[in-house]
Amino acid sequence: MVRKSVLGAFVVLIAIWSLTPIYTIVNISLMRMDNVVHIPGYIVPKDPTFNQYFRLFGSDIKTGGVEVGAAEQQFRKFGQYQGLTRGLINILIIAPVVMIITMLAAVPAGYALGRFRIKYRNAYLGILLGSRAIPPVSVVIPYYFLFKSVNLLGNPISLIIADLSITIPIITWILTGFFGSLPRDLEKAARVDGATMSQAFRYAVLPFALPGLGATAVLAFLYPWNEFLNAWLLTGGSVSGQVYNSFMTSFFAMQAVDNLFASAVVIQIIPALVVAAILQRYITRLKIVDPSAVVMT
Amino acid sequence: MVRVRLEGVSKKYGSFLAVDKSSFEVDDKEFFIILGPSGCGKSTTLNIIAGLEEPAEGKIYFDEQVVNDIPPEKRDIAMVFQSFALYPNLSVNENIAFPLKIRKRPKEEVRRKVQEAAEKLRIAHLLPKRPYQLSGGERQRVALARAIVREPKLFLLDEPLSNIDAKLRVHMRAELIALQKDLKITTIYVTHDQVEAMTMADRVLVMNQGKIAQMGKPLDVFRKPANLFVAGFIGTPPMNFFPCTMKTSGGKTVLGDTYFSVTLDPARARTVSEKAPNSELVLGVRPQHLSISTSKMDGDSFAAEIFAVEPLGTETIVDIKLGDNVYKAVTSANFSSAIREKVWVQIDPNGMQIFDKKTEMAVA
Amino acid sequence: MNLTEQKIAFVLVVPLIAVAFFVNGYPIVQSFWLSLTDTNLSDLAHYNFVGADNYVNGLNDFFFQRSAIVSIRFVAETTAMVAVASIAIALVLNEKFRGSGLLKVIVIVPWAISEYAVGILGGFFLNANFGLWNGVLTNLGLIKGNTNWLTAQMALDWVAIFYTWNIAPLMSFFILTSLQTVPEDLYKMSRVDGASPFRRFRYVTFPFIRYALLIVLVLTTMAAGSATVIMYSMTLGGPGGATQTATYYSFVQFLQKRQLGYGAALSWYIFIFLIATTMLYFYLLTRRRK
Ligand SMILES: Nc1ncnc2c1ncn2[C@@H]1O[C@H](COP(=O)(O)OP(=O)(O)O)[C@@H](O)[C@H]1O
Ligand SMILES: [Mg+2]
Repeated sequence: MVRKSVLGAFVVLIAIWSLTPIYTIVNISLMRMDNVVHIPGYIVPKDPTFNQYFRLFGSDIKTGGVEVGAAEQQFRKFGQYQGLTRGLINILIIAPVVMIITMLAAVPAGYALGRFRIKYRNAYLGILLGSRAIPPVSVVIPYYFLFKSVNLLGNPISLIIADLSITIPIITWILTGFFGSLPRDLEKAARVDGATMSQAFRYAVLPFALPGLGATAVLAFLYPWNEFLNAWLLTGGSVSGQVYNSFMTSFFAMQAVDNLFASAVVIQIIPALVVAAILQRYITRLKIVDPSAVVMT
Repeated sequence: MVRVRLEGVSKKYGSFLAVDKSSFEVDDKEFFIILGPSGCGKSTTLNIIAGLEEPAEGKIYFDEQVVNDIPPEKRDIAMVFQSFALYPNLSVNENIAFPLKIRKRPKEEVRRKVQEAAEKLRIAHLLPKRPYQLSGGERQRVALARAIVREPKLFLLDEPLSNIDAKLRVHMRAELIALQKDLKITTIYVTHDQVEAMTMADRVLVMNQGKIAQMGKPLDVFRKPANLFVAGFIGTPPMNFFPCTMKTSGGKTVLGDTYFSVTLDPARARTVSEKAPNSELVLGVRPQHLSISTSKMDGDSFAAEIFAVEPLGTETIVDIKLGDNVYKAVTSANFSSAIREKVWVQIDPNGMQIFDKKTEMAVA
Repeated sequence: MNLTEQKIAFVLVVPLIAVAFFVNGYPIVQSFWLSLTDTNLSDLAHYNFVGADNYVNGLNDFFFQRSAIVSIRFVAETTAMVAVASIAIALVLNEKFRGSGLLKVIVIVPWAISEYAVGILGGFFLNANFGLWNGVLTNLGLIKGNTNWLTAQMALDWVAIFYTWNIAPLMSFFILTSLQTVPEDLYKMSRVDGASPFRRFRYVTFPFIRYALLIVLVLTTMAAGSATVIMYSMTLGGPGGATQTATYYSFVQFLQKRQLGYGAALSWYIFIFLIATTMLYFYLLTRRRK
């Protein structure tokens, strides 16, 4: 009994710990500024409105009789709000491209590394893991230097390449462990029955691997979606090439409207919430970066 | 040291009834074995006695005291598990000392008792080692030493011999019995291995699907199985079951069907007709009570066909086919015959068990 | 395995590994070369080779020294909090109770949020004018009037808390995976033995999560030691440099002061620090007692 109530208390505590910061920003994004700054603060949104979300993308919808302020009108005139929309569209193109290229490269390699006794396998794995050991700060400066020298700054290609340099090794690593852990007997049986390597993969491995591959693809999407440093350094200066994260930061540095900023960030984290729900079941099986996951037995 | 009594104890996992209204009593200093196939609720019963699981209903008594609300560490018991459950990062010495240290016994006493227990199990030379450096049999001894070191009033052992190799197991059986008789501690021992139960137990309780199937001295259970389950579960090779009916004609009562018939003595026939009138019956005969010959024998013998022969060296097991059914008979080692050969089979009248087919209970 | 398989596998793997090698080898070599020059962002074509000057300057740079101390404090605080939080969360998730599936989803949410957004969330949560934290504490009567939490003394601790909030979920799943290998029998044994919850953790649970904990410590140190974005989005490195970590400072050198060579040299110090710390963990957690 004591045990049960202690457990219950911890469950509630963990749920509060995990959700409160998200709640706080959603709360702010749903209130007019005068309510946001009200003292004492409102713990539940007062007069909730979605107006900020419409304003973000340049809509003139007004509720609660609050006019768009002079600064915001200036910003609109100079096309700044379109920039946010464009940033969102850009990342919605770039992230799937990164995801697809990553999966095309990582699935065959992870399969081969996970299931075959390839020569120098451990050396290959060492290179993959080693690429994770370098702190990002040591990587982004040279990349900035590189893309500046070849005049690709502001071009989405530079961001795609920089993101791939991280996603491909990680996803290959995860898939190596994942393919290694799938049962092998059926594949062997298929080979004995005379299936070629690709047929065996198609009929005896893929059906079991598909959900895990889906979860991995979601990860490969989440990385560019969430990535900030490369996005900011490599596309930051460009009007047409900027992505959402990097545009948002410069935009709200100039246009410090808290509820608007909050709704912009909520839009940024919504996919994360969806991803969390999808990944939960696979996260223990995929062992996201656990080095022990791929050690050959 | 203690008598253990369960009264109407049940345990549910969700809607699944793992233990169903179990009531039995274990005598002081008794070596009591709970026997049953895997998943029948043996471990659950043992865990309830230990206090590791709460029963949904029923009471557990140690002597006259109800212990339902006493936590496991206060019940003065020791347990040994199939997996040995040694603390992986403690040495053998520290493992055996663990239950004493937790009870804050003086250092000198701990040292002395650990030494005694280790010597009793002949593992004193292993004391500085760690569990991963030991073989299965050695780990098993460490687990036992840890159990006896505290001199508890009750031992609970959950399949302690299942994880060691066959030869060592035979040796450990004898050693465990000697240890128990020496320490005189009430012991409840769980196993799925009927040979262990037959050779070690003072009394055995046979479980099936959460229910008590039979309880008694091993030989009584073997000789007089209370139902078809116990009859089929105990004994190797398992008992043969002949479906049959009872007929009386001309003052003679016979059991039989299309392929065979045996005469029943009048006393037995009367019991059967009292307890199971007009019922379909099952005649149970252990393979040791079937004899086979290539020529017709005196008395009730019937024809069958050889289906398979398994020579074991000391004896030979012969599978015979009667209609669509195959039965086993144990013959002498020098019995030889060809497959599909016709033979004569005779049932030893003293080895017959009669069951009611519908209720599955023994009738006579 | 036959020859064709070996060949196919080779074709699948080797190009990718080669790319991974160059993609990661290039920045290492390049940043090392840069660190030996006085390359300036305004004019990449003209630079001088300066030898170890940048490294010597780094050691004598008061602001770098200060940022190194900030970094060490941040890594220490984060690692301690992540270790405790991830073990606690994993122990709860390892229990069977109704709604445990839902709790798993809830727990993993903070991990899926970008470091950038986490900093913004933290800033809003603690906002001196309208933050929820002030709201809650005021409503509970614990503080009178709104308080500024992101002061020079406390800001780094709060950044560390939010960074922990961000990365502890993934770490707790590592621990959870290893918790599931603790044998049920051993746990029962310890209850019969009457071991206290602390002893049970120490002798039953800990030996099985030790390796996972090592990985958690290494990964957390790596991540926290190079964290930059969260300081940028939560406190802009302030107030007064109180949350300016070494990585943050090296970025300032390179983006604001435009000194690519100096920034690269500083990033090498950080790299070396991280490798050294990681090796220390391996030593501490893998050495045999006695
Ligand atoms: N924690 C549990 N949750 C659900 N079912 C369980 C649990 N423990 C045991 N069972 C079920 O209860 C039955 C009896 O288990 P157990 O007592 O362990 O059997 P055994 O006789 O093999 O020791 C089994 O069918 C098992 O699947
Ligand atoms: Mg069991």
